[in-house]
Amino acid sequence: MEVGKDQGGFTLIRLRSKSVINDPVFGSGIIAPGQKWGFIQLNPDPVYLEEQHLNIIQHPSGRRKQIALQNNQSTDLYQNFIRYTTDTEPGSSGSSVFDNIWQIVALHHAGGEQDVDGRWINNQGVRIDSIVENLRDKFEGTNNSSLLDELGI
Amino acid sequence: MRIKIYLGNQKYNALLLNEMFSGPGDSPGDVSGERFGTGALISDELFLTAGHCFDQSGGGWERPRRVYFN
Repeated sequence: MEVGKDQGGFTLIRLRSKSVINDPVFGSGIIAPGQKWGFIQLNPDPVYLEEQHLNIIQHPSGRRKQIALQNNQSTDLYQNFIRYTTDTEPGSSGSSVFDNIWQIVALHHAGGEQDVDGRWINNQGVRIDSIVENLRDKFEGTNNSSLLDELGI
Repeated sequence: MRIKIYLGNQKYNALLLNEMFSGPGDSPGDVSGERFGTGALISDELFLTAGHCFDQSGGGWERPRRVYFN
């Protein structure tokens, strides 16, 4: 399958905690970004089904947050990727693809197939179980294995 | 590589971790052009986004300059 250069790729970024002063919720002190904004716990082994509904929370083309909830079924399941009809735009890359119980099942990264007129038929995401496997392969037994503990995987 | 990430209207100092899992031929760790992407926090400090969002060559993919999460 042709998936371009971004073959299963993902990016992990560590955000630094920052000090807040007189925050209405946290008061003053050093606050981790996940404490302020919350975070999504990865499920390392989500269920993948044909025609399951997949919702995407995204910032299409840099606009404010939107959630694609309709016409949102999986069309193809591959070992490392899934395709789905859920709508996206450039700028949606990196969005979490959620199943119907709001667990992350994939990381949106590309368009999928086009019809003869060039219209997009579906979109494509990297399966989260393949990302978890990738992280375990890289970090288990290394000096950085605490990263796996941080992620609860 | 040090970068800035926006969560809502707040700017966070951030460190790109991709050097930790890049291999020969990979070129992680740069951002150029005015592009947008999306991502999500998956722990107190770790932020997940697409691979091509921070790849030096980009491979023709759209890449973000600032990552929004709000």
